Amino acid sequence: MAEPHFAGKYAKCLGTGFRAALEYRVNFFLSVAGAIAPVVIQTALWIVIYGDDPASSLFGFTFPQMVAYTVIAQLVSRLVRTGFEYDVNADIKSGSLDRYLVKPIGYFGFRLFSFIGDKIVQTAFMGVLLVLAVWILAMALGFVVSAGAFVLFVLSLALAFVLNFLVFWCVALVGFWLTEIGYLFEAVRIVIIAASGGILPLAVLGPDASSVLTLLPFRFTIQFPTELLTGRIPPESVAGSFGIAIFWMVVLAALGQVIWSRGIRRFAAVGS
Amino acid sequence: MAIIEVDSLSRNFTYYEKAEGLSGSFRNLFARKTMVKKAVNEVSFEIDEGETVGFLGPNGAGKTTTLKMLSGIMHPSSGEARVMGFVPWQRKKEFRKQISIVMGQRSQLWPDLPALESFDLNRAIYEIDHKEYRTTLDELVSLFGIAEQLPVQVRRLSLGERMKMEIIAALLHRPRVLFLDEPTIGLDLISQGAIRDLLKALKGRFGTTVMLTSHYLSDIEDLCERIILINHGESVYDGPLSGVNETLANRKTVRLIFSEELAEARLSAIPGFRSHDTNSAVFDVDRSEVRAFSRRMLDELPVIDLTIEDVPLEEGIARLYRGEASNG
Repeated sequence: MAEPHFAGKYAKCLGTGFRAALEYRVNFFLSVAGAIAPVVIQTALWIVIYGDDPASSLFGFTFPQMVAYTVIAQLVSRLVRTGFEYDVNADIKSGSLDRYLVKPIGYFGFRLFSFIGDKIVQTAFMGVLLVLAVWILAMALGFVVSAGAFVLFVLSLALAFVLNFLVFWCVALVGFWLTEIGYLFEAVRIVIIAASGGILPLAVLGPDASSVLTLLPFRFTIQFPTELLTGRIPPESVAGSFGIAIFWMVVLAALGQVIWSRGIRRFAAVGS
Repeated sequence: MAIIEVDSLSRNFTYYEKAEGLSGSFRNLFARKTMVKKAVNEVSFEIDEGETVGFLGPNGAGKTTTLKMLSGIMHPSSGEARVMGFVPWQRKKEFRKQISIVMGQRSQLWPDLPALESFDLNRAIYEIDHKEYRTTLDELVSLFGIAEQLPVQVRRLSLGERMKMEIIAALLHRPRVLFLDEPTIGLDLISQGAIRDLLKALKGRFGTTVMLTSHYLSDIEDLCERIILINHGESVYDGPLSGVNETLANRKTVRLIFSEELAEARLSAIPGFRSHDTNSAVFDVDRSEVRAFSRRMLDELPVIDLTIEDVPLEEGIARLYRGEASNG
């Protein structure tokens, strides 16, 4: 009976994250409300930039496409946002990591599944907002979402959760070596959001920068799901993009494993 | 059969000495002097299955460090240990499933969850069968009398209630070895007594081997047949609790109360003098000399009361800490 028990263990962690998200839903809604200001500012900016010719194409985006991108990218970036890195850091710093080490459970698994549980609830909340946003965009700008695009969007979102988790897992583990890394998290987050296309589409940064950033894992956390939903990814390149994202998932997971095993050796050696 | 075997276990901590002042801080940037503290030094002992052993020592003696090594949280600097045949710090899953550690100063529960949910999470983590879980939980909850606090978020519980929950959480998977690190620390006397009574009630019920550290002698007196005393990282005594006093049994404490205040100089000149108050004084006297000493005091000083006592256990242990009495 080892298998169902094993699954049950992590399902339970998922449930814990799930309940925590329900408990702290206000926090999430506030974060979503925080998306309003940047959307308004950027839209105003695009209105000025596009001027009298909304049909013209800037960086490969018409005005309605650009506004749709701005709104959806903001929502996606709020949705994939992590927070567990502070918990990991606190566990390392205070030594409460001990309580996981003496139990028959993997800390990585515990954090990953709590995070996913958390995200399932937020996605449900966000789904409502997203439908609303798409409906308004459709009314105002004639923006249309196909069923296929929606399915791909959900898939890419799941991938984005795991990728973003892995990125911040690696960053959080720096806590084994440095004690005060709260600022590091925020600095890294801003750079990553920019590199993910969370503020502007990567194309705006110019062909050189965007071709480099296209190969990095970050764009899969925001730009890729957003472009799938807005139908901007050519069907023939969807599979390839998923392939790159999965490649990065494997690389980051392996990197995280290496950092973890070194960090935990240090933790056990130094004590707390 | 020994369930815990510890052989010359040592643990050093390195730290840096910082010279005083700004110039010191500046110099430290370039050359730091590395210092080594021996937290645990060549400690060896064996504990049999089912034993309850008290692990005593003053702050910083190395008690917690030893428990951390035995529960697998910390690597030793040298030496060996086996718990149920496992090397603890390899943290094999089978090992982790059979031990538990409760630290008075650090919660094992999730503060935002009600205790009951933490228990349920533990049930999943330890892969405990539902029926078995129910039976153990019911038994512990009725024993501890805290059914009403089960649905309350852990961070809203009082320290005493939380400690009960910690102990329940640690016992749900019926560990073979339980490490209790200062389970009564910070608790008021009544809660201390309650926790002690519970641990006593648990003793023998689950057949768990318990290693308990505490500052409070009463914890140890009530629960442990055997104690290991550790000071400055070294084991200074290992044997039955009664033995602590036997090693000191050749000494008696003589307490005198006087009808008037006496000058300290006069009292401290008497051999065996330990302390004095306005009109009382305490002396340490060899057992064979107690009669002669008492007679002399009654003759020479305005004594109105005289008591002769065994050296209290606390005192005996304090002396062992100071290395005044030898093992045996």
